[in-house]
Amino acid sequence: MKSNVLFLLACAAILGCRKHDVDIASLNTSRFDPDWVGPSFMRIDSIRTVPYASGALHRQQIHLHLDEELRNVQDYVIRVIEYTVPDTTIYPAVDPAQPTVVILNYLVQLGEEYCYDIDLRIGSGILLNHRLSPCAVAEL
Amino acid sequence: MNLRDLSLLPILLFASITVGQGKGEIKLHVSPHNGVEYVLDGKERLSNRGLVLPAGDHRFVFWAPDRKMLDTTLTIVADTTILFYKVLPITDAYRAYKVEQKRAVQGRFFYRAIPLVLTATAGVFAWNSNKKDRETYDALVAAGDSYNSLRVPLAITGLKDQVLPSLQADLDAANRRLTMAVALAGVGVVATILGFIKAGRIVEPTYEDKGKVEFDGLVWMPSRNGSSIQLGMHIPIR
Repeated sequence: MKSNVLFLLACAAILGCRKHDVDIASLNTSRFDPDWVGPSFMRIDSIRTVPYASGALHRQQIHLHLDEELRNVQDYVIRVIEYTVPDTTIYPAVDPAQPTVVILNYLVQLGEEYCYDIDLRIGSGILLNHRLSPCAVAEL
Repeated sequence: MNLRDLSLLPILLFASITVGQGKGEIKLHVSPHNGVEYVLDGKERLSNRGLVLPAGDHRFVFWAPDRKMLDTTLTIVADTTILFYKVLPITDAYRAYKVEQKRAVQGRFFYRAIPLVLTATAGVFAWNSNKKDRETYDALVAAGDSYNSLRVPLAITGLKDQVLPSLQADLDAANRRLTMAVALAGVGVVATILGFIKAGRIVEPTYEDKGKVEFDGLVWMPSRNGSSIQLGMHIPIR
């Protein structure tokens, strides 16, 4: 009887030591995760309208700040879509050594509002949930 | 009786004296070779294999442990060596005892060995299952930990959509296997305990060689101090 009780206790101990699951749904704390919901790697520093071609034309300059964590990743791509002229896509040159990227839109009319979608892709093109959607009126 | 018969009388008398005084040898080959004893002419209890005896009929009662007694008369012929071959058959009682004893031994073995083998097998199965369970869990935890160090979204997607679910499925299977193995081992332990209790209750049969008692009673041996009866006692040692 005593041995039976000991045996049952041993079984309970073994079964009590069963390994539990890893909660996959809770894995969303990495900013490189496509499911990430939180602050973006990118931040708009400023949007300015600047004349060029002796003042005949104007362009909008978006100064985009990139977090250092992103700049340590070599193969990221920033894509900017401007909606005033359909399908205008801008791929700004990115220098990993610089914390700021300047996005230039050379076709702006003063007084008009321009909106942009700024996406971030890393590696083989997976879209990260770091989109910025700024809008700004072209004015000096 | 006529004269012719009378003339033969000296010859018959001579022959009778010759047969009565002559001796012959007998060599006994009685199986089993060990333990065979015999009583000669109801007087002497012997075990030697070769005898020189006066010619004529002699009564032999052969006996060996667990064998049937053989009561026979052998005729010794003068100046002749007789070879006597005989196998003493096993007694029915001893045969039945051996059957019962074998049944008891087999029953005891059955009740002890089979649950023990089952328990040992289930124990090895449980040990392997536990090892596999631990390895699978470690792999799952390591994969989960790698999530924070990955910098490639595709790798993170692969980890979350394929690697972790696959490892989780492996862990679930390992857990089920471990539960089954522990349950089997539990059944084995209980069966082993019950089996040993059952085996301990099996009574092994005892055997009394009644033929030996009968054989011991056949002989009466004189000793130096006078007469005595040779008795035997059979104590089964278990």
